[in-house]
Amino acid sequence: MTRSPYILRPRSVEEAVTAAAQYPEFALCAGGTALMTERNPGSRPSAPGWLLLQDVPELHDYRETGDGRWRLGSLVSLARLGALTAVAPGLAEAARQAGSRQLRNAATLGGNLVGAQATSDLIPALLSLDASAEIASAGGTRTQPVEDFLAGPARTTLAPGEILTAVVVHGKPGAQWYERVGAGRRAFTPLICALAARLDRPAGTARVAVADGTRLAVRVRAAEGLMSRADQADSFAAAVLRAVRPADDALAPASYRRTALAFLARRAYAELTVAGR
Amino acid sequence: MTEVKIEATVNGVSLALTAPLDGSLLHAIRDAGLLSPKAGCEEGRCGACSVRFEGDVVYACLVPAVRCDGARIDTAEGGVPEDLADALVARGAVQCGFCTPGFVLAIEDLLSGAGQRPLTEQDVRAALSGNLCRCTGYSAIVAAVLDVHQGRRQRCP
Repeated sequence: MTRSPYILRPRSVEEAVTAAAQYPEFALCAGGTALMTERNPGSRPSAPGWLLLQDVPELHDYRETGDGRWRLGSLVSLARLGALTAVAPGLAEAARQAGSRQLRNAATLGGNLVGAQATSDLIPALLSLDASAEIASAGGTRTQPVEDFLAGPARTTLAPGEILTAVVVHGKPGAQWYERVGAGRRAFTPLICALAARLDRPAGTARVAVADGTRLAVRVRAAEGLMSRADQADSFAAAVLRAVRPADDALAPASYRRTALAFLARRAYAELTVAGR
Repeated sequence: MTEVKIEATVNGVSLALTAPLDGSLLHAIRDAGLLSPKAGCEEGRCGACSVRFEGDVVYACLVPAVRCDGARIDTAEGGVPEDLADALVARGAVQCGFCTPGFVLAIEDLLSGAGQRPLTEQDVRAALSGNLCRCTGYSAIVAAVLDVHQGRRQRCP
């Protein structure tokens, strides 16, 4: 199975967590796109070996778990995620708006979440869906809300020896909306800002999450209660803007991000509150 | 840097590749003499390195070479459909040619996925947004793709 002591290719979750416990310093690799961006010219010091997850069939699966939830394997590509419009339309939309065809074919749900980047399209959508991370280790399995799993920029609670096996979401929990601003040529422009929202009127549940492109996406609790009330577009946009502290960078100044987010907030409010009536 | 040996099926032929432990599929196949995938940006934006990995079009610069042991890889060396080559030439869609092999892979992916479904100019531009061309301004490439698509639909009504 393995032709080099530096390359581990487990065939099951059990083998994977055993390998991860034995070689915690090896790079956990799903699609590898983010790892390679770090390793190509100008790379940082690399890991002593690879733990490739690609041969673990369970990680590639997505399925309904019977209680209305969907378990999305961590190695499901963004391209496949983009087709899940009937299950999680907001998440599918976020996946379709990320990168290019070539990138979406290789990049994975798990890699995107574990990377915990400010420019992640999936993270705001996952936050708006109350998604949970399913994490396995030699000691067993734990589940943690994505909001808590994210521990800061490029950091999660994933400990050495642990592997993200799946993300769990509720199927079709109300109307969902996702939109990003990322210039005309999406494939070439990382997310500049994005907003994900969900309104489940019968259940009385609303979720709003926002990414300003420079800090990790956050849930906007102050905006959520406004979604079920009429004529609150101004307050809704103000609440969204209070939740972000964008920085200037080479792509866009903070002022542009704030202006764009105000537009996204108004659009999300208008479309979801109208669609939900 | 540790070297690793990889055996992959490239364009239908079993090929032994060698790469540094951290190397990309792109350099592994170029080092083996397959030069159609180009080293452009090497950060997953320009599309000049596009290849098929297990049937899916990807950026070879972002695929760790170590992932490719036992994998099926296809490059433009594996063959470019004649109707596509003719259309690209007829429309003047090839100038310096650096981006062309990558475009060919992305175009074939689009056309095979579209089948008999009609394609708009917008569809084509969106599908090819992961490939940069610094010469043509894209219009000639888009026109060539639409020509090929129309031709194939007429042949298979």
